[in-house]
Amino acid sequence: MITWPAVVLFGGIGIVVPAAFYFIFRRRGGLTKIPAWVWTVTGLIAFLFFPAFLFRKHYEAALVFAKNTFWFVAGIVQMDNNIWEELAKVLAILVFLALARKTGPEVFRRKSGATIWGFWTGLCYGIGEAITLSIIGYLPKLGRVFGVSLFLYFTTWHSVWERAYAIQLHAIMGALIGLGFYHWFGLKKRWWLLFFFFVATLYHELVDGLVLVMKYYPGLEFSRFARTHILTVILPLLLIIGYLAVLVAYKNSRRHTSEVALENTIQT
Amino acid sequence: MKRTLSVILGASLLITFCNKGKAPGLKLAPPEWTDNEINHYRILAQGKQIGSHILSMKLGKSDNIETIELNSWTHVKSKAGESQDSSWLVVRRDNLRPIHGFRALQTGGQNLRAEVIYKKDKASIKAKTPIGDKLLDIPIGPTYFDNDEMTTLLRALVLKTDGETKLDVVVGLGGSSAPVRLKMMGTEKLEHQAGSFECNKLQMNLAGQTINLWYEKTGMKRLVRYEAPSSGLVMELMPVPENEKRAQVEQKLKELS
Repeated sequence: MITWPAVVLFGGIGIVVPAAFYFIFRRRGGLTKIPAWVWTVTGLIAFLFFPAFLFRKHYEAALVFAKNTFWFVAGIVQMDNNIWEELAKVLAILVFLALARKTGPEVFRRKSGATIWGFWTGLCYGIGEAITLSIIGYLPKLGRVFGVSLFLYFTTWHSVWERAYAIQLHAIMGALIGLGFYHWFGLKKRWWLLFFFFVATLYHELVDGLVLVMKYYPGLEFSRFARTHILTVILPLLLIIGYLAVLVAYKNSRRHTSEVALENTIQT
Repeated sequence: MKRTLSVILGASLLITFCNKGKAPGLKLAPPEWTDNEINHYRILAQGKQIGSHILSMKLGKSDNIETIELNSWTHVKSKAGESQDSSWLVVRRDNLRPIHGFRALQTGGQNLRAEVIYKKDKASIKAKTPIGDKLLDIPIGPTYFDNDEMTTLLRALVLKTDGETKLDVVVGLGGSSAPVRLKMMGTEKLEHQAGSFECNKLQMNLAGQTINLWYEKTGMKRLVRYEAPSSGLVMELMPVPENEKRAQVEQKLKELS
């Protein structure tokens, strides 16, 4: 069923958004050397990693069926989901590094390049989520294959609006992971990747945890407010928190010596 | 070889024959179902009444199969919002397996409807929403029942005294099925507005959520109390409605069905 919201989701979020991102950022952060095909392939891999990692929903659903309480679902099942989703972004970046053996590490030796590339990977993963959920919603039989129930999920203007936020939320998580890779390649602090992975996972928990609060405690003042203002207040607020987190992490990450040297050369 | 094959074939036929009309592993001891039975419940949240639930039962026949027609209507108004939920379900009288169901839910300004037609090995679900229709077939087995008949099924189901009884329910509006685990917790005496009841206490784990249920130990084995600790929701049996009120309830259910 071709509807205008579906056209906007597939054409706008699926094609226009990543294309616009590519044209804006391809010459920034030392990414000039990365050919268009590497951008495309890395984006496609991140995109495909969403459905590829979705089969975990079978056992996550079984976990929920075993103990369906807020703390268990938020603390175990949701955290499992977060870890897999962040791991998918890490793996997409590793695939990029394997594809671009020479230029790849160069990207992650620059703070800006690493952040942009992480953002790109997260963005494409989020687009993969938006498109996959829309397809499963249209073909509910697929939901049984992946272990998700999206019987009453439709691609509406509401869901397009929500996905426009969600892809950015994933991009923010990707940017944090990108900064983790910068610590590894640029600052030779490999274990900091784990730290940034953990920060991205916690940010993911904050976003989805609020949705769980709404679901498990519908009578709370917060839940009632969130239900009616999820798209106008809650998600924009979470985006601001996320962008601030990236900004703080970016500002507080020491610059790689080559970047400092380059700046000094330009100044003199 | 020939002998082995005939033994296997014979055993298969015997199992098939013995299982006819009965769900394997599930033992039923239903009360004497009465035509036009109506049970009225009040719904409480944190001790405050927030709604009511009415369940009626009609005995009938369809295609030479003795059936029970279950109608329910639930209205809840709380801080979380207002919802109205009605269902119609026809089940076989001998084994309580569902045949055909329909459910309508009005919540948060949305109208959702789902129809489920049960066949031997699948439940065909058709959901109607303001945005569009959806169809889905769910594979089912002999221990699958409809979510809307659970409180009635438990009046008849004989639970294992040691360990858990397991079955599955089809949730039409969710387009899914969920596992149910049941455990007998002993007997308790309950004092309610509707009277004093000697009850069997059951613990049900439905899709991971624990629900405590109290059923009359003898007689009609009606559901007396329902308690969902995670949500703080309680449902209590109310006295049998007076004639005038009963007529109103019957009219309401007639409209819905």
